[in-house]
Amino acid sequence: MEMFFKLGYNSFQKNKIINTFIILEITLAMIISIIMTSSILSRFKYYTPFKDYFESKGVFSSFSFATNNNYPIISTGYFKNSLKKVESIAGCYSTDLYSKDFPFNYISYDDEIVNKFIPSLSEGRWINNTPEFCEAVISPNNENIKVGDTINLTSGDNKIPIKIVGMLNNNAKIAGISGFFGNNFNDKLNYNSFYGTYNVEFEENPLLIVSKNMKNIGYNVSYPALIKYSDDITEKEIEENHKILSGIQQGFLLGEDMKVIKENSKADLFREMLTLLPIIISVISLTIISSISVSALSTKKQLRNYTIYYICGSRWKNCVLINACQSLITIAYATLGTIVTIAVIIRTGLSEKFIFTINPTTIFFSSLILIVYFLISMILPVLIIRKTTPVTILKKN
Amino acid sequence: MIQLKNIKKIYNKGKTNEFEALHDVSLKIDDGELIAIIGKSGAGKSTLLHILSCIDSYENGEFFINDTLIKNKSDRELAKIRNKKIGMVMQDFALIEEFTCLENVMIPLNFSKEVKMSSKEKTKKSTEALKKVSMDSMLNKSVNCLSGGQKQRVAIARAIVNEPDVILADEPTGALDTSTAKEIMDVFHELNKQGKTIIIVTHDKEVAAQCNRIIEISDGNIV
Repeated sequence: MEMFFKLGYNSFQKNKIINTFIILEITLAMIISIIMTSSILSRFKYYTPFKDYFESKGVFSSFSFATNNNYPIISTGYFKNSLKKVESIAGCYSTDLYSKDFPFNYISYDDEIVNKFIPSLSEGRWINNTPEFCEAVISPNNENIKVGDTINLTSGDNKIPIKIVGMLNNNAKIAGISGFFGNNFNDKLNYNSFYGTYNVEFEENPLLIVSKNMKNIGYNVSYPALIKYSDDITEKEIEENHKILSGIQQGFLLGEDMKVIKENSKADLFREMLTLLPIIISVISLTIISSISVSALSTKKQLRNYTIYYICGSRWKNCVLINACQSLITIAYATLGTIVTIAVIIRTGLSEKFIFTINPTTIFFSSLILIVYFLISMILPVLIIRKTTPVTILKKN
Repeated sequence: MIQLKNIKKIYNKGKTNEFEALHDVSLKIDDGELIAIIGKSGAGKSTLLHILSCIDSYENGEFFINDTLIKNKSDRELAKIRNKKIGMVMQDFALIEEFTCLENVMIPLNFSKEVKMSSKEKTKKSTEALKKVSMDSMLNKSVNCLSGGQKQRVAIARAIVNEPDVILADEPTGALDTSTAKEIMDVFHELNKQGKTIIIVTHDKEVAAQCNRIIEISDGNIV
């Protein structure tokens, strides 16, 4: 095997120019595949975290914009006690935090949201759901509040110092602010309706995101909540729950049955995928066609050399192995080229300018390009080499 | 010793364009002979050479190399015979253009399986082979920089590097001018003196005249 590698490497080195182009082509295909996969994943970025809610029996409860000062304090406990067979809730809450120095808008999340969805941050880290010290993520602001600062707030009579641990990116989508803070629900509610972008110019005040687990702070459900029922809930119980939700008080709106949310979400995701489909098909086709042509050309070019190996004592079958070794070397260089390109894209900040994510899924799909190339570069030479004999090649020459 | 008994070779067997290239060819070549196989184009010279070099099969008859019957041999066994017992020299030199002289000569050593040779040993042996054909000063030169005569010398060095008993040459001077052709023939004579059996396929009467025995083939028969 070592000898085949040596011969493969020798041929690889002696055909530097053509191999450089092959490596560039594979590298490019891999980078495009990462971009494509990132783009597809980004479509699911807001669906996947709460997939278990969207795909279970449940309800998307939303809070009406028409708030008044008299609505009762509603907690998740209230939901759990008054509704039948509630399994879990992913809820967003308002707080009674107050600052005499700065006016802020506040939103707090329960564990379900803190754990499942991290918005895009420009700096720092996401909040911890079991903080020893009160901490918050802040929106970009004109008040020059930065990560690491501590701001002093009050909740009732309690003084609450809060440490800023992270800052949202401009236009970062966050959970639970749709239908509020200037965002409105779409006509058709779907997974996207659970999110919105906080517009600091429009809202004037910075937004503080805190965990609902902080002590000495009052919370109530005033933003959207995803409520998941147990699987064994009956249609009748669901109907009764919806009646309760609609009748809690004027401030609450029954958003939508999760069945509808799921259908609308799938339709929306499918629409998004359809727009990407032509590009996906083009990339896959180009990869396959170029792999076939490159492999066929390379094998044809090598046939004479394989004949020389044959008359010198190689088996005709072994030429396929030499070819495979050469392909493996090409793949190794293409992988290296891709790693370097990824590093350059990340280092230069280009990854922030377009959708470019490195994670196991994107790596897996870009690796498929290598697998496709390798399989083609294994199968095609076998077919070409089998179809001919050294004598035929000698006669042609 | 090489012996052929009633060798028959048919191309495209069973097809409409079936063609019998060799008809019951029988031949005996002793060790240390220098033989020319001559004949017109299409007479069956190259077919005979391909059978002798174990790169082509035959339909009927028997073919022995040193009393070993070359029939129904596995791929592996035939490869071993080509590697150890036979050295081939072709009209178009059959060198890998991108390789250096040394790398080309080293090819048969790379496929030798019995003795595990180190890279250093392979280089030494290849250099010695190149020295025998006076090409040791161009070890690391790419063969595409060489003249036709030099390329043929490298091809001969490759043919002898594994010290085979038999050297088969298919029109070895066909692509060379007269003086270079003479030089190449001198190399063959020298190798023959050292005990190698040399079989040269040619249609050049001057080349044939320099051999100890001439075998003429016409329409697939030895005449």
